[in-house]
Amino acid sequence: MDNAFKKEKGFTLLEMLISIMIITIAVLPIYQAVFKYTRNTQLERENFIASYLCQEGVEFIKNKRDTNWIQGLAWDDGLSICFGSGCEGGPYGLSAWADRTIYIEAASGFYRYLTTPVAGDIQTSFKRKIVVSKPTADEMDITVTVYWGNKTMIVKENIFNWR
Amino acid sequence: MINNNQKTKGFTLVETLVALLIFGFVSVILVNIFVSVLNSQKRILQNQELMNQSSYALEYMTKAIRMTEKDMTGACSGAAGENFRVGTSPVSIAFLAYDLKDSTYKCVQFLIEDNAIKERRSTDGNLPSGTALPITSSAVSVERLEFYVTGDILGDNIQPKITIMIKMKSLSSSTNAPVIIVQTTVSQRKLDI
Repeated sequence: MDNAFKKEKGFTLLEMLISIMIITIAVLPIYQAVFKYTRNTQLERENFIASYLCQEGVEFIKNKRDTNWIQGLAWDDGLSICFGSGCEGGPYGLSAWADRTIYIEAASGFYRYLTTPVAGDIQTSFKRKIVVSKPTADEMDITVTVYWGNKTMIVKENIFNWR
Repeated sequence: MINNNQKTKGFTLVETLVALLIFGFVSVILVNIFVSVLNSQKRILQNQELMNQSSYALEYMTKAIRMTEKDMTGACSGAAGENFRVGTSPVSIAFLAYDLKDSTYKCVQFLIEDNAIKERRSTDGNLPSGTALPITSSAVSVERLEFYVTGDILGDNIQPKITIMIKMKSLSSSTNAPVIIVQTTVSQRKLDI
């Protein structure tokens, strides 16, 4: 009788462990994939914001060149701070490169550099370096690099002294 | 026979409890994973919608602003020879936008209203009035819109430039709905002389 009971079908502990293991192995990659998608979306967001910050950097230099044209100055007047080691700039003007991170100012709402941030201002992880070089007298190469974490985005644009 | 039957068929209370426990344990884990996957997917979709909407609004506005010129009458920009009329409540900007269809400049206004970025279009150079049409979807809430203008005064000899900032939030019941803050600057293409 005892023997007959032992022969009955059922799961042994080993079978249970194996089936749980198989379920785990099947579910874990799904979980990891979703986690990866979440990470990628975060990265995509950062890339998205950085691409607009890069575009902004190029526009600052173009705006300065056009102002120089209007004022009858040398077309690269005032841009020497961006030669060599580069400069950083926001909506309120350009300054020498100081490796500063960009803030989102609560009062104005803008991405800009702040020397004395107040409560509500958000420190982003973005840094933006604008480097200008002049391969020839009438040509300027603008390289805008936005850094955040271990990520980098580079935008290059050539502008000329042609109206 | 009865005895035999009892001994072979059916489970004991302990066996049933153990089986239920294991089943419950495994299903709780699976349901948790499923719920967190659903939540992640929702956030991913919300983030994509935010990026779509904010890039559309930014591109739409910068495309128009880039092609503007000085408003010599001031009927659109508010003062003769200025380029932009920036309002604060609601935040708005009006300027002469180039119309490709008949190669003329017509007054266009962008503003924030009812948590959407809206546009008013004029058929001439005068400031448009009436209903503003939204350029952002009702699936997102525009929390803030800011414009910062330099060089738009007549005779300042500075090329006009505009910085635009959009803060957009996803409309959802969850408390930590994703938010995106984008900003870009655009310099007027036409020399301001």
